[in-house]
Amino acid sequence: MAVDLCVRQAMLVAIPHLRAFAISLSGNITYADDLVQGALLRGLENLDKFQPGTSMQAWLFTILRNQFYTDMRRRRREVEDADGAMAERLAVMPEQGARLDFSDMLAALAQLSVEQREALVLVAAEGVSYEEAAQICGTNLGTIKSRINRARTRLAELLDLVPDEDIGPDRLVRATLLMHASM
Amino acid sequence: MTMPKVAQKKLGGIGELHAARSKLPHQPALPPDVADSLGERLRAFYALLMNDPVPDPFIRILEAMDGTRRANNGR
Repeated sequence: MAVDLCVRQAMLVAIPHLRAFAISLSGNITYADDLVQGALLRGLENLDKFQPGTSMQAWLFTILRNQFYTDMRRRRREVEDADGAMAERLAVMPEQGARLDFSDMLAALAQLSVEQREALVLVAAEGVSYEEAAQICGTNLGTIKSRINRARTRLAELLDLVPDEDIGPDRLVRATLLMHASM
Repeated sequence: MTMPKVAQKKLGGIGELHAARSKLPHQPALPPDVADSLGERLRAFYALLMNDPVPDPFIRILEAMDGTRRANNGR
């Protein structure tokens, strides 16, 4: 059965992506692996609902993401273990510098709202299109773009990437508003 | 999404302020070098996660599925 082999192959290829997404989303490897396993099993059970010719990976991302939201609503599960201990739980231990960057990024991502985090990770890290991200997150293109913009700005602040002396648009807007007010 | 050069010249300082305001909703508020470095950090972070070996149970789930199909076919 050639179709099944294709399906299996597509699922196999999707696994590292699903794991990376789930860990970025939840900040917890153990829970992320539960999410991935759940998505694979649910995917297999509902293969008849998968539309051939569409992206298996995007389909599994949607299943995983929806389960994450269901869990959050049920257990009010918050992002845990985002303090750096997690890097040590990866099977392949990154070297010191990379490990610090990794922990900083994980902690910073955890500060974003879940909606901003998933949009940013999908587009800026995973590399899916805005359209696909909107589909996975069950929203529209404009919302995805604005979530990503806000996420980028916030993340840059959290990671201290924005130089202090830089006059950003926010300050320009404030200056404009003040000018108008005084006119 | 830069301001047309002609308009920039004409409007001068205040024109630039208006331009900064009008492009806010669609353009990231980050300077390009900051946006680049943020993008790089995100991709490096993600690459590290992607490089982590896939745990065996996941492979077994898919192998089990393969086995089931083969058994069904054999009938």
